[in-house]
Amino acid sequence: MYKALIIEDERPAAEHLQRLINEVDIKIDIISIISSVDEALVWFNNNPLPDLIFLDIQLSDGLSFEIFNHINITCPVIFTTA
Amino acid sequence: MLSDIYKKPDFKIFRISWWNLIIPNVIGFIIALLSYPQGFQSASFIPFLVIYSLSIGIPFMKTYEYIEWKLEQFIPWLTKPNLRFFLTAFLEITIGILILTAVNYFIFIVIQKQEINILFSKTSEGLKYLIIFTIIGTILINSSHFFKSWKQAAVNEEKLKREKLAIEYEALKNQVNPHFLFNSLTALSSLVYKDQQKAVTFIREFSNVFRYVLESREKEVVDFATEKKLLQSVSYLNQIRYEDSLQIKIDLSDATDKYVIPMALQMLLENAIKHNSISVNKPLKVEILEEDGYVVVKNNLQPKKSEIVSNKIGLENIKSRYKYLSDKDVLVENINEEFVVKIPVLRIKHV
Repeated sequence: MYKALIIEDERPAAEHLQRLINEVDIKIDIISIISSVDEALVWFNNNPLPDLIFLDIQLSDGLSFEIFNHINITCPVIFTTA
Repeated sequence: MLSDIYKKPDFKIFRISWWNLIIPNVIGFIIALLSYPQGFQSASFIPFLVIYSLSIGIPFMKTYEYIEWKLEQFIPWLTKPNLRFFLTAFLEITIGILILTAVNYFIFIVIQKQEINILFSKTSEGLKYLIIFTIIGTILINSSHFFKSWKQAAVNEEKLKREKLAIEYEALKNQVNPHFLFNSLTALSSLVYKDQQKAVTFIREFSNVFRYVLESREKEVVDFATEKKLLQSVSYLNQIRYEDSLQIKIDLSDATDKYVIPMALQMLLENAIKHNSISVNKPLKVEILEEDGYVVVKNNLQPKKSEIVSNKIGLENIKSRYKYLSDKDVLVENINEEFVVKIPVLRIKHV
């Protein structure tokens, strides 16, 4: 089972992405859906890195690139944005 | 715009301009040449003519300026040209008779000690010219004012057209922006699974927004009822995307005799969403309401961490368009963690 994290500020979009991922591969487990930079920083400080991150760029409180300034992310990241 | 030309600062009742000195003399000489050419044979005639012309001309021109300025406040040329013309001519001629009589009395009766009969003949002779020159003068001066204001109006209209195109372009850009389309379609495909009824509503509101842009493109102003419908559609779309993180309250009447410029409120609403952080913990609250002759758009200020690139076109454009349409300015206030924009309510005067 792969552990994947979705960071996306619009819930309908996150749900849509989750559905698409499950359609493609049921072995991917979405462990959490996060909507903001702040929330992401808290999450990364309290959880081990997932296997894969789906990352939106425009988040509700800023650009997701901000996360990389604080957290050393070594797992693969798939940017999902318009 | 015409009222700009009659502004008070130009007018000083005790300041004599070179016009006040030259025009009475020119007219005085013309009248003397026409009616009393033999007078020029006498050496003292020209100094007498100058004094006589000025003592009638200066008070007359000064009261003329004063009357024009005063009347413009109550009966502007632009809205009531006929009434204004007759009123101006009537007042001028009445005042002219008084000035003429007073000056003639002083010069011919008090100084030259002539008989009282001479007063009536001199005054009635002067009156003939007074009427002719007053009417010619009124027509000349005001046609030049008319021309100036017409030119000003044409320039303003051109500017307004340009500003309007710019805001139209901005709004269209927002709507066909791939980001907006993509996000809306993503939200829609999620809705299709979850809630078909909502999905249908979403599509309807989505097309409402586009229909509004199409319809209001040609318009200078839109009424409250139309604008409210658009705002409701726009806020529905955003509500679906942001759910409880975004709280929009629209408290506008359905008035059809109150107007705002098209797409302005929508742009302000979208600006608030674009520039602020929106989350369940810290929801963005946008409120749109009418207050003391303004439509007020306010939101709690919680700027995003990363600076959003803003071209500032939106707000500046709204401000400059209102300069042409209203005496009141667009107000932008940033107080107590609140961002407030106030847009004057427009009412159309039927002239």
